[in-house]
Amino acid sequence: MNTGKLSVVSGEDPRVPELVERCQRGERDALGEFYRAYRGEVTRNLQRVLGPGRGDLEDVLQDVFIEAFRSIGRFRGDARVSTWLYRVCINVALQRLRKRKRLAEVPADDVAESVTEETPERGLDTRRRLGAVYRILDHLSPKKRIVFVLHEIEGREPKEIAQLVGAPVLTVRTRLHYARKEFYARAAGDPGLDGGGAA
Amino acid sequence: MNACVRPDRLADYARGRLQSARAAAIAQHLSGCDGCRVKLDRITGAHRALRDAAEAPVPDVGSVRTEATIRWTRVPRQAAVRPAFWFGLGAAACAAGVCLLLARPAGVASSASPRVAVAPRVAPSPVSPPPAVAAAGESAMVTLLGGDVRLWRGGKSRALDAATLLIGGDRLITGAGARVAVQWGSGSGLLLTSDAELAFSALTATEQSFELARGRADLRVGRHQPGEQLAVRTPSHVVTVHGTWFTVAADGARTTVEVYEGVVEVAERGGRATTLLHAPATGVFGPGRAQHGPLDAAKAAQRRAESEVNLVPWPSLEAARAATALLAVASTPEGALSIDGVQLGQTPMAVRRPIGRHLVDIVRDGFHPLRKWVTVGVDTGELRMALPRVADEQLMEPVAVEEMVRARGRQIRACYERGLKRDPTLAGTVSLKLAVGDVGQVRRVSVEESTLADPVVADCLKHEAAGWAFKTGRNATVVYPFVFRAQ
Repeated sequence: MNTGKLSVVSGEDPRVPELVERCQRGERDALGEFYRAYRGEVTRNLQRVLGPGRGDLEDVLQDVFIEAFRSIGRFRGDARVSTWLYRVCINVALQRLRKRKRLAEVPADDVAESVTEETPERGLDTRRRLGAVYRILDHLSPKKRIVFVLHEIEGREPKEIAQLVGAPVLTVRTRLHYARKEFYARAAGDPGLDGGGAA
Repeated sequence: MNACVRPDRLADYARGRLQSARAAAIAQHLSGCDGCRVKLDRITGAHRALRDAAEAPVPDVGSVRTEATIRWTRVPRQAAVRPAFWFGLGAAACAAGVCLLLARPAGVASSASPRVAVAPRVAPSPVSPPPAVAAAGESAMVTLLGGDVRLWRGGKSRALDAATLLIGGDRLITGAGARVAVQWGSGSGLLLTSDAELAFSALTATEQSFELARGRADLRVGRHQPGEQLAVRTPSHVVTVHGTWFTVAADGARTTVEVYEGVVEVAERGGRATTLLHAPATGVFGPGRAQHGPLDAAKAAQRRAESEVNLVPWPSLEAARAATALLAVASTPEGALSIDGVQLGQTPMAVRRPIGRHLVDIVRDGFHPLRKWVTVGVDTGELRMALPRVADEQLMEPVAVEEMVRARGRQIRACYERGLKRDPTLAGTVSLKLAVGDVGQVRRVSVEESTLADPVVADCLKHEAAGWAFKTGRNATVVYPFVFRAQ
C-alpha cells in the first residue's frame, strides 16, 4: 500500500536541520520554505483523518502551521522534524474533531470529487463508499478515530502510533480494538458499502 | 462453526490476517450464511474505501494562505537559557523599577476607583500627578480607520495613516462615510464618524480636551486619576465627563448629547447654564435653552452598537502598540465588518487588534456572508476577500430530472434489483427530495415518502442521487417519485 506517510522511518534530508534552525530564528524566508516543503504531506495526513470534501481542511492546515511555528523554538531535534510535525498535525486534527463533536456538525452527505477514477460510474461508487466510511468514522470518538486511521488507512503499527499520539502502547491497542469493533459492526450494517466484494 | 462471525473477525478474514484453520472455519460458515456474506461484502467495500482514502490525491489547498500564515505568525524566542538573556532580563527589571519610581506620582493610589461624577472644572487638585511626568508620551493611537480621513498638523493637511500617533494640536476631518477611532488611555477613546471635524486641544494625563466643530463624536472614558479632566467643546457648549460613554453632535449653535453610561455635565459656553445628564439620557442644547429626557432603551442599545471605539488593552502607549497590530481588511464588494462579534463599520478598513486570533465577519445584503479566523501578528496584516453573490433561484424543469433519471437508469435499477433479490415481490414508490445547490449540484437528499417494504432500496437511491449534478436549474428543491414494480 502506498501510504505516502511522512518519513518517520526513512532518512531525512540533510538540509532540514539547518532549515529548522533558521525557522527558530524567525527568518521569514525559512518559514515560507518550511511551509512549502511540508504543506503537501500535512494536507494528505489531515485529509485522511478528517475526511475528504469537508470545507475546513484549509483552516486546519493553517492552524497546524501556526501551531508548528509557535512551538518550533522548543524543537530540540530528539525526533525527526517530520515526526514532530506529524504529532502537531494529530493534535490539531484531534482538536478539530472534538470541535465537530461539540458543535454536532452535520457530516457531509457527499464526498467531493477528489478521487479520480477511470469511469464516472466507478468514481461514483468510490465516492459513495468513501462517504459511507467517513460517516461511520464520524461516530467514533476522536481518539479512537485517530488510532483507527493511523492503523487501517496508513498501515502503522501500534508501537509507532503510540509514539505519535503520546500514549502507552497498551492504551493504543485497547483503543484500536474497540475502534475496529465499532467501525466494522457499523460497516457490516451499512448498505452504502454494498458491492465491495463484487467490484 | 454455526454462530455468525463477528464483523471485526470478518475484516481480519477479508484481509487474510487469520490462521488457516480459523479462516477455513469462517469460509465454511460463509458458504451457508447469507447474512454473513452480505456483511463480508460490505466490509470488503469498507476496505476498498480505506485503500481509496490512502491513495486519494492531495487537494491543492493552503497555497494562497502561505503568506498570511507566515506573516501572522510570531515565532517565539527559543526557550534555551542563555547568560545574555538573563543579563538582559535583569537589566530590563532594573530599568522597569526605575521607570516605576519615576512615573508613580507621590500620594496617588496605584489604582484609581471609577468615578461616575462630574469633574470639577477648576485647576487640577494638589494630589494630581506633576505635569512634567504626565506630559511624557501623551499621544493617541489610531485603533480603527476607514474611508477618507485627513489630518491637519502644523498647518498642513495629509491623509491620516493608521500607524500615525496623534498629539495635542492635531485636527481630524472625516469625509462622507468615513470613520476613525483613537485611543489615548486605558478604556478611553473616541470614534469620529462621517463629515465631522475635531481638534485635540489638549492631550495630557490630566486633561483631554477636544473641539468638535461639526459632526458627531462618540466617546468612552475609562478610569481617571484624581484631578484628571475630559471635556468636549462644541461651538455653543462644553461637555465635561468622568468614567462614562456618551455621544456629542455639533450642528451650528445646537449641541446634541446622548449618555449611555455614567454622568456628564453640559454647560453653555460662558457658564450661564449647567445641566447634569444621568445615563441613559439624551439632550438637545441650543442658545439659552435645553431640552432633555431619558434615552429609549432600544435606541441606546442601537447607538452603543454603532459607536464602537475599538479599544485595546492599554497598560501604556508603548505596551499597547507592542501588543497590538494593524489588520487591513478589504472586501469586494464593500461590506459591514465585525471583528470578534463587534460591528466596526464598512470595509475597507484598518483595524488595530491585540496580537492573536480573531474572528472576522463581513456581511452584505445579496451576498453570502464571509467568516474567517485570522491571526494578527506583529506586522501589519492584510486580508482581502471576495463576497460571493447569492445566486438567484432558478426553477428546476421536470425534464432536467427526467433526463438525469434516464442517464442514471442502470444504477437506479441496480438499487431495486438488489432489493428484488431479497424480496421477489418488492414493489412500490420512493419519493426523493433533492436540494439542488447554486451550481446545480445535489446538496442534500432525503426520502420524502416510501411505500417500498425494503428501506435499503431507498437508502441506495439516496446515495445514488447524492452524486448528481444538474446542468440546468439551481438553488431549488425537487421531489421526484421513483415507481418500482417487477416485470
